[in-house]
Amino acid sequence: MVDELKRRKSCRFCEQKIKIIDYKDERLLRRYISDRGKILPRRITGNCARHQRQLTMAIKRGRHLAMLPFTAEVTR
Amino acid sequence: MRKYETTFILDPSMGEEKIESEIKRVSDLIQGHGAKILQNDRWGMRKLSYPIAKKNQGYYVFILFEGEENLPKELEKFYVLNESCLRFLTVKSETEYAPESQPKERSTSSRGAENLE
Repeated sequence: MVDELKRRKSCRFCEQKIKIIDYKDERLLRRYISDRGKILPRRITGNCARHQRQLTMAIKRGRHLAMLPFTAEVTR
Repeated sequence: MRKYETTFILDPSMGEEKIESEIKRVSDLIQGHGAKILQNDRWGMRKLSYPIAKKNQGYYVFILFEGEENLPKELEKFYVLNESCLRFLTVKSETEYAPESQPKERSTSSRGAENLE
């Protein structure tokens, strides 16, 4: 509980001084989607509002370019 | 003049030669409008996260250029009419362009920014 509260406070992008989240950085963005392909909410990522917004934008661009999934892959 | 970046996915089934000519057509179109290409990257063949037009792979091309404000519109018109283009995305470029240097790793670039401040 205490751990979670602590974690919640830190926005990783602020800490690393990443000003612009790039939609081309697939490896980074993959960390912020669930295994079903959903964007992780702020209460889990702990991002600040500004960066969460940027992240969402980047993920959506990544999805458009088929670098990221919209949903979990369908098993055929 | 403004910096834009455009990424498009070409249908890989049409063969290498055709891919080359399509890339050339796009870059010619950009340069034909008086724009300057700052960076031309080929990400090459990549697996698509989901099928597009029944294709599971695509040939990715990324171009960073500096051009007039009407150019993205022209580009997108071209993409829409081009059947070999599976997807495209053109956005204003926000990343700093540094000549001579290739796109850096995330960690090194953020560290570099720290040193400057």
